[in-house]
Amino acid sequence: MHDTFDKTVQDRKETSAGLMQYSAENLVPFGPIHPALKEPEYFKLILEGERIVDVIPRIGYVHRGLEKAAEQRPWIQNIYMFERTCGICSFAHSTAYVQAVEGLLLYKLPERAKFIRLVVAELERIHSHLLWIGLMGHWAGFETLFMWVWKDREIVLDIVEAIAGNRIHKSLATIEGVKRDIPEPLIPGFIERLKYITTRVHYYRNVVDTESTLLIRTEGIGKISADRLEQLCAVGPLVRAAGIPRDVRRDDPYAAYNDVPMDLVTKSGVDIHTLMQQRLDEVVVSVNMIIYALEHMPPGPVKLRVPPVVPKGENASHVEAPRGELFYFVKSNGGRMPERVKVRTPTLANLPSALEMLKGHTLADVPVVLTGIDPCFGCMDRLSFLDRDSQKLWRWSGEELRQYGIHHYFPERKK
Amino acid sequence: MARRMRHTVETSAVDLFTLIEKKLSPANAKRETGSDRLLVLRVPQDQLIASLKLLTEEMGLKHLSTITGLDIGDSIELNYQFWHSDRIVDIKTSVSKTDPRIETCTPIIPGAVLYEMEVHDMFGVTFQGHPWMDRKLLLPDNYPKDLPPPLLKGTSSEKIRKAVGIEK
Repeated sequence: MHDTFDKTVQDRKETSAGLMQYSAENLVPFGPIHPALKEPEYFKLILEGERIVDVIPRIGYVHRGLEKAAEQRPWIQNIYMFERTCGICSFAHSTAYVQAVEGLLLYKLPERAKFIRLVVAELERIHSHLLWIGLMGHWAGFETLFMWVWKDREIVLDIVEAIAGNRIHKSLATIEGVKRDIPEPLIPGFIERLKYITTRVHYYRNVVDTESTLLIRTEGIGKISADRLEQLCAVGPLVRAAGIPRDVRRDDPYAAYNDVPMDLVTKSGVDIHTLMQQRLDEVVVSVNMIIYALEHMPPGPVKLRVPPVVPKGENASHVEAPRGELFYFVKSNGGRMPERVKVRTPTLANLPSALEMLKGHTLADVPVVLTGIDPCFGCMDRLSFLDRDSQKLWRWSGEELRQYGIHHYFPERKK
Repeated sequence: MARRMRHTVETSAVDLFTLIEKKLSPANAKRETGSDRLLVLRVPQDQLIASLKLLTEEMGLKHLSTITGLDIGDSIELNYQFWHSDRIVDIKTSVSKTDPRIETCTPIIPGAVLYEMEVHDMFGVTFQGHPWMDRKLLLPDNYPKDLPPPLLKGTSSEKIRKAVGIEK
């Protein structure tokens, strides 16, 4: 990445002249904000004709200053604030935070609470991965997949609601435990519904492997080598799809991951197609882990009573969120509020890789590749195009770009 | 399904940590607190890049999880946190608050590019040699130049809200 940073747009224009049919260089501002989507980000795409030659990121449009706010709130209140960092992997955030605090407190977490944390974390992974598969279908022009997968995702959300009382912000993790127990009579129903999800996922796996609409849009798109991903410190399903067996659940087990069998899914090379296979296979593994955990849940309390102050010290903690390693660092001065809390989300770690994956592809591939790293990406609806030579400016909505992408690959379809 | 127990590593926690400590001892690294899964080493500022190079190239610590900035009164502390199997290695160094400057580590660890920008935004530390130091990553474009960076202890939330026009 380094070598491309310092080259100016002007340099590129000179080197590219005459190579392409369209040598005019276009700057395409991508983003930043749309209220209906998850995380607004902004990318300046530098194009040569149709090809992307460079991408410049600008994030921070929803930077709400949580790290600063955490320094002015009690330890317990911060759990619920950090949970709201993300609208999808909320439980991963609260777990990572309470784990960092628990490391300073040195109590022994109740066994049953560990299992409940695992169950909810894996349910969250299933719902996040299914959501992503649906979005891939949407951006690739395969609306039916989107509708079907999101219908099946409702099953998981119903289970989460039965356990936590909420669909998304579970407010379940607390320091030294979880706030609610899983009622025993509900467990057989959960298992039955989870088994149904497995059958659905096997069906979708078949669709992903055989459906030509998807294959055209995903095979060979967004390639990046395992070495490059390692250099860029990428995390989560992205590195596992490249064949690097890196997973916090296996390497540095937390909650009950030490007691529940787990198959680590890896693939042999990244493109959008293998990323879809990777995530679908991880859903099956998660279902198996939840069923095992529900069947082997130890009895006992789910929470300890702890004082509201945390001893002086520093601790770092990480969990495997659906998108990859989520890192928390906590520093306490021995008071009622933290001295410092640091959050590093997986999307920030994967962003440099996504920028590399975009290079060399066409504008029509942008939605698919950017969705490929599952970036909580929310900026498709506000983009304008500037042709540098004619100074012509025009705007497309996200829907128009989607239609453009579909038309690029399937010209016979009506625009 | 094969039952998978805790991932075994060849060197025990103590071994790996002692090895790292030994390796970095020419760089004046001093072990601070830490447990059997977290190693905290403090290195002088001028030895940081050499230490990171040793860690990534000779000790195989490839994955930098993040760079955490801390305001510790008269100086700013930078924590380079690595994840290696079941351990976290935290390399600490300090830069002065009056002239917060340090060399970039992006030639050794390309993945640190956004982490350094984040610390630059939040603590005002300049990473010399970083190609994007003139840009902002997280802070709004209208963040006032005369207001100190937001995560320094001297900058109160009220001041920030007033300066960017959220509160009058």
